[in-house]
Amino acid sequence: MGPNGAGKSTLIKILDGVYRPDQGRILIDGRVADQAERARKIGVVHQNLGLVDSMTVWENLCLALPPQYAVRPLLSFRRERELVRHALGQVGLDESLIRKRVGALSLGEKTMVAVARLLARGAELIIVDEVTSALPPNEATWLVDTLRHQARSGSTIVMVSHRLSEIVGAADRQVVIVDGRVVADTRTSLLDIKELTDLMTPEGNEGASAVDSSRPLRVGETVLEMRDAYSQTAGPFNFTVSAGEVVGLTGPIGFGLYSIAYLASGFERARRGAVEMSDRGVGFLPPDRETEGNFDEDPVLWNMTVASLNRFSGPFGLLKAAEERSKATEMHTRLAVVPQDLYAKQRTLSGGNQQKVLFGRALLQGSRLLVLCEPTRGIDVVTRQQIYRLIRDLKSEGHAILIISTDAEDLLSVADRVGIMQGSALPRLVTIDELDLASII
Amino acid sequence: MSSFATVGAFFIILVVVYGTWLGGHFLASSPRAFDVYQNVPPLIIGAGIVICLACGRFDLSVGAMASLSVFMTIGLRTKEGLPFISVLFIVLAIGVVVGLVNALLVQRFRINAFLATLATGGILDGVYTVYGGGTDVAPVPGSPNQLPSWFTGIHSFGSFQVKVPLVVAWVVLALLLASAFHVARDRFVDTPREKRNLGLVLAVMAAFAVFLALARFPQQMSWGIFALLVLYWIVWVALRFTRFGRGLYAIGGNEVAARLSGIKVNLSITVAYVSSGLLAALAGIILAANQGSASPQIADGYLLPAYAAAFLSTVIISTGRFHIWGTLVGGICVVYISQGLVLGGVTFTWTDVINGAVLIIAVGVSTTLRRAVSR
Repeated sequence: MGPNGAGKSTLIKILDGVYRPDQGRILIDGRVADQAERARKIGVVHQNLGLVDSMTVWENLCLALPPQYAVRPLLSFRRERELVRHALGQVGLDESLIRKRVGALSLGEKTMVAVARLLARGAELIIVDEVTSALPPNEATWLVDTLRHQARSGSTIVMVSHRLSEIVGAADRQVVIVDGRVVADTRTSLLDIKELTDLMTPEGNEGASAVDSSRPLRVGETVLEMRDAYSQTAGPFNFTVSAGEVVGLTGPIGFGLYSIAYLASGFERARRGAVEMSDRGVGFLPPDRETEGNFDEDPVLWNMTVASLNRFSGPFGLLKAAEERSKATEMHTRLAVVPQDLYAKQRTLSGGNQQKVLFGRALLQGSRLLVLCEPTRGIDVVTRQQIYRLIRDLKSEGHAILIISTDAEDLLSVADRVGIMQGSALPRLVTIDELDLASII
Repeated sequence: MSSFATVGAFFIILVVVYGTWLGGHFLASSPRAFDVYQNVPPLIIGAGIVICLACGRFDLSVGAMASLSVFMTIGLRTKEGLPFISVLFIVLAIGVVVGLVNALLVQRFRINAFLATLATGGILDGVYTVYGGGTDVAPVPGSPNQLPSWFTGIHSFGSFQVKVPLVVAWVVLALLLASAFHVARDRFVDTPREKRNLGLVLAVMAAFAVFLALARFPQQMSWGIFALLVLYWIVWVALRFTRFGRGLYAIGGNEVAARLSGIKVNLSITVAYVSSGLLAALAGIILAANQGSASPQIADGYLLPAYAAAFLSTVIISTGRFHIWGTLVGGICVVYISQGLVLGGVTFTWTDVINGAVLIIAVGVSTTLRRAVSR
């Protein structure tokens, strides 16, 4: 583990063969391993998993295997099926999934299919790169348990995660990377959450221990109200968000949790009921950074201002370049995005910094209502605290903030009132003090 | 800076290599300007294609649209006897309607853009074939319905021999150079080192202006080339400096994210298709002025060179984006490469083979180079 931008992903890409090492050697079992050997023995599960959604589990697994011929060039379905069954069995997935399309699986199941594929290929070292960050808690636990089971039966598992509790609970050995250097490598005595956090927190940044004093609040007028509102997939929703408060919603995904966000920000129309907003604009942070947020090939500047171009355009829609850049620079500085270059391509940024840019996009719209989905997905402990502080600041500036997140820590850290979806409905919100902690996890 | 440098380098290498090999044959400014003049229609079509490709959509109907536009420009005047000015407006309106239909098929009915525009292109081909009875449409000698003499003929805007007044030519070139400088300055303002770069940019541009003057290029600027440069400049401003253009590139980059950023995706794509239809209609009008008559499939063959130029722009300029100046330079370079080979002794019947090969080699080499650099 390590903060965003510490070099974890770069390290993995070197092992993976995406980048060539500038210097040094890579040893496997004490011998220098060339590219081909590494490709065979090291398997990486990236966050986007690399599965083909439109193909079945069977087909996806067989893509990674050498062809199983009956009589060349005809493939043997029987042998393929056996291999696939075996691989699924290893990760504890049910055999009945074999003919299902990958697109129809839950994210946790997909992740396990990706792991099974590596095992079927004969990978001895399996690296899972932040795959749990997008998973709901129960699936994440299941994944970690299965990986532990794998490790006991002889594989080596390297898990990259920002969820400290996972690392502390599951790892036999912890390695902490900060600024491209290994700052801790514990073979014997494991570190606890506090020690890990301290290691990753730069000096003078007491983010994690800062006590939230802004909780008692003066709530202003109602900015967003939903009355018996139904989205395409879920409902009814009944709640309000007022200026100067943070409302947090959580629940299992798959029942339309995020559809509340699309309703609240006007990207989806209510099937029934009423969604009322007192202002016109909504600052929106989408749940999935990669597919719904980033413009990978475009510079940070464009990524930041894309939702607020109306503020910077004059006659004929001509953009006021200087104004656009100065506003973006201001936001860039406020959010402390690294690198400082406004013209760096979005994809070259680390996940945490990409997230900050998307925050900047939502804030630059200048709306009172902010709808923030998964604000800390794939974010390290330090950035996480920065984001919590930012949200509290925004609250005290009078924003009405709706957070929709599957990460309980988000809600516990910043929310004033919390709602937990039950099935596809949303019961009454409760204040954070009334909350039964067990129910959220 | 890097983009201008690569565009410039690409061009200079070409000129130097061919200049050394062929000498005065190649460097004579009049035939080189004539090459550009002849390729004004495909290059204007290319500008429309770039607008569509910026938002990730194909428009394969543009070649047929330009052919139809030639038929209508000539036919509506000489066969139907409509006043010529109204003919021009009708032809442009046809371009707009075709764009609207394409957008409707692609965005509303969700038909694959490749297929939908290929089909509308086929229909447009059919329309002018029916209109022209399967053969040429040309003014009938002695009939009262002639094309105006300012439009086509030796002493018209359509002729290569009629040049833009020198002052106007220099105004256009100055506009382009000033635009280039504006972009360079916009990008480099912060550090002293970059200020020095800015001086370098100025020096390079001054050198380029001197080169143009010595090559007597402004004296060779016919009205077609003038229209080409002005249209490219307008499209460039629209793509790079307006909300609309930024939105198009955003849609091309990540359509879901664009929608969630509040960009009106359907509207933007509709405008893109309309622009592309309109530019194809304009290209047809210019071609009609050059030719003075319409023959079947007259502009259909422009589809390949126009797409070639548009795709070359993604490799000439290092950003990987479809880019209007890259399209212009890429398109002209392809023409010059094949013209140079013809001057060097290759029979002109080989032109199509050369064009195809040049496109594949250029895109292949620069893609490989870029991948090698980014490793």
